[in-house]
Amino acid sequence: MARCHAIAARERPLGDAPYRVIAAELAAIYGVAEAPALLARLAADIRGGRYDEPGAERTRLARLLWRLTILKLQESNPAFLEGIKDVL
Amino acid sequence: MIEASTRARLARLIGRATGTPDAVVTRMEELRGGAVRRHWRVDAAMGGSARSFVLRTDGATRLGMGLELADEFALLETLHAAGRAVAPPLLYCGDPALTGAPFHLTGFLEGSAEPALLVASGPDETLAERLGQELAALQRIRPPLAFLGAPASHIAATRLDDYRSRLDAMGERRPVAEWAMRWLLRHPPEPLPPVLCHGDFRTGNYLAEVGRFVALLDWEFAGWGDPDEDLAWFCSRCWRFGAHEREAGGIAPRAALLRGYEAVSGRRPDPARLRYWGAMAAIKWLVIALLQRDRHLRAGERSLDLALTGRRAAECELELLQLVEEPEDHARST
Repeated sequence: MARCHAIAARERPLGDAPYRVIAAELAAIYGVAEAPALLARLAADIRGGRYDEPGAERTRLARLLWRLTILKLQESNPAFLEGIKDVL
Repeated sequence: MIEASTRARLARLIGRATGTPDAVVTRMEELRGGAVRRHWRVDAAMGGSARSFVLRTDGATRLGMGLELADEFALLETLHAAGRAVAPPLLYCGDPALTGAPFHLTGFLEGSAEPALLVASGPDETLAERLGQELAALQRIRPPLAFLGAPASHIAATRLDDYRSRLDAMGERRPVAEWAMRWLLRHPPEPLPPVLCHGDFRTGNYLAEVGRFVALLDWEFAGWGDPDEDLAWFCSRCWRFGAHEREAGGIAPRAALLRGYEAVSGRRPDPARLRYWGAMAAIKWLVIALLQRDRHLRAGERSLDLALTGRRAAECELELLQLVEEPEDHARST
């Protein structure tokens, strides 16, 4: 129960700000602004091999994935990020 | 609350299995731990002395992965006969009329499996080395065992297919998981002959007493697999319980576990293979965390613990990003 309260306490002040950060980056990649659907599209594109080759597009995506994951952990379990010094 | 009639039925069963018809169940207490299955300590007076057992049964809902109880019990019998450190199996009862669900009984062993205690009492290189030795001894058990089925001909590809199918069935579209599975698909290691894997070999699933290894617990995920799967799972960041710097289960450096393993197996694990199977471990735990969440969200087993387990998927994703990152990605530099 304490952990639930802690997660809620971290989420409340942030509101949907983390979501908007990711939505903006996805919109920049795909040129449209429908983030939930774009996450599914991104997952399908990765599975299909669109980002296999090294290059700017792959690097940009890797950064987005790091940012997305760190935002999730900052809400759900920031202690898990301890020792990850060179995060975005 | 366990009804008196249930205790009496259980006592008769224990009496028959142990040759002590005067057995009386004096106490039943549910034990902590066991995220999928439930456990009770059963104390009995029998033949003028006291003995304790552990009753293990399915939870209110199923995960949809792992061995059936009967097969888990058959495996325990095999392991015990082979001299491996497991709780001694006593009986399997498939009749749900007896206690409300099928169950098996094993002997109760003293010790603690509580991760917080084990991690707090570390570092303990001796314990990690002993665990490596036990794992290597376990891997001497090779196919076939009828109740485990045949090993997959391509273990890594089979695992990936399974995890991907499960994510699809849950409607999960997770870019990080796809990113990692793509890497796993494109970097398969040279295969090694299949061995018996515990499947959930980690701190929390072994008993230790005053730093001394006692037994491996919770065999529901056991099966044929790659020799590096259990080693990598043990070292997963998700199973260090906050002691991130102690890569071997939060109790010791990774080298201690590998030292023990090599001493008994004669094989020095390849770091590249451990990296690969570490990423596979993170995908596996991500899938299990989401399946656990769905026991709460979809299957009707209301539980904060199950709901919160779903949040742990993000921990797996962080580990995946670390493990599959290639130098050319430079994702973490700004």
